[in-house]
Amino acid sequence: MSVVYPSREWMEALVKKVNSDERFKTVGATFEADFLLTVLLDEEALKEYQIPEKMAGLISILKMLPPEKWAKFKGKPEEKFIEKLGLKLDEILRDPLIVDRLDINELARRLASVKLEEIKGAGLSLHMEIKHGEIKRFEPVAPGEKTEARFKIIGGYSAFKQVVQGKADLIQLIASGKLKFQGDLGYVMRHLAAIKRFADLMASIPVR
Amino acid sequence: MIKGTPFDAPLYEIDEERGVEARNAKAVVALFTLKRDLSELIPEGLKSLGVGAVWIAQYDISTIGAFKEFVSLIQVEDEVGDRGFYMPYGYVNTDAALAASREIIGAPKKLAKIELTQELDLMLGILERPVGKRLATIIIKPTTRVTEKEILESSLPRPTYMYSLRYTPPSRRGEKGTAHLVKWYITADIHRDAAGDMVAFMGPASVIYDSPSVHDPVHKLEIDAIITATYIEFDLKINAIGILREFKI
Repeated sequence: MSVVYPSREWMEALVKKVNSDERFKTVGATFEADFLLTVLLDEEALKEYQIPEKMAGLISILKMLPPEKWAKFKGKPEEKFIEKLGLKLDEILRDPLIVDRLDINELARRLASVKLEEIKGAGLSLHMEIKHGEIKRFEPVAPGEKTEARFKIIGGYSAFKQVVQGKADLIQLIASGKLKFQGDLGYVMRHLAAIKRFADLMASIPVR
Repeated sequence: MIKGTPFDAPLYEIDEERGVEARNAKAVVALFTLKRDLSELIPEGLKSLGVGAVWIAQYDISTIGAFKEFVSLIQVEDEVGDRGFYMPYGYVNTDAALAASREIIGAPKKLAKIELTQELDLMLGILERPVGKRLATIIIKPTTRVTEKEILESSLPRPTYMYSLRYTPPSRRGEKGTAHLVKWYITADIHRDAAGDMVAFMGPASVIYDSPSVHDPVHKLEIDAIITATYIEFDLKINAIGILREFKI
């Protein structure tokens, strides 16, 4: 059964898939790293998030953020994005439960009038810890958090989506500059078997 | 100079300081995860990292002559923590390249037919031994320009350490031969075009062991999944570092 990408459901499916894979346990036994994945909004994201199901997926991830983390959106491009959806950050900070009462259809509709230059730099950041062949933690983080992660991958929604769908190779996208990678590539090269297996597992989850 | 025999007309002559130098080389290289543990192919002192590679290159000018090369490689780590590639099998198409490889660094080269061509939209590399017996084929569609230098430097760092087993058979019955685990290195300088872009392309690829042979078991490096496949144009230096271990075999 397919899951919406990105969504909490997708994140949970990935953790389940990876953590139940015996081969990843073997090839990833000595691979220890944390990743900060920053998925920047691009034209494709603006178009796709107008579909209520996709918007609901995005909101399901944002709902995973602890209420106090919303303060870190202040003054960031992500705050502009929230405002364009008709939300006020101050109101969310006063009453975090607002996020639970959002009208997804209305949010998706509002996005139709948003232009990319108005929210330039806004993105969704996910932090993942991998150790002993398992994902130990996978959660959204607020802008500016976990910047000390061992590895950082930054890129547009459309590039990440191609990797998730298995339509493009992660390493090729990094090599061609479509995804930016920061971190110790020497360590990555020592653990190529683990990284390849992880990418294959991720691409094996049917998404819509 | 390091010279091969006969000394009055050496098969190869190599500058000790500079090593073998090649200009205007091109290669296709595929990195892949290995389907099974290949400890039996790797000498003591090296640890497999579970990744294999196939490299087919054409050197148009080199200090040991123009030649073509096919090598099978296993990514390894040595006892001081250096990462590199162990070469269980290798092939060239000239006598000087064969002798220099075997005698100086222990690369187990044999003579074979090797081709690296572009047909239609595909780069095609082949290994045949004997001619007509196709052992391996690499096909890469070079669709993606590599723009990030760090990516190439991570897979071909300067230097890229290499390891091979140089063997001297016993000269008397009952004695053992001597094998040396030799550490050496290559440095590859990727060419840049007039616009300053690296001449390096990645793309989807197939690596096929067309027709396995017990005489040339390159197929032992069974492929689980291809990680990357790259076409590069470059200059190359090869030089020895030293002997890591000695075995009596």
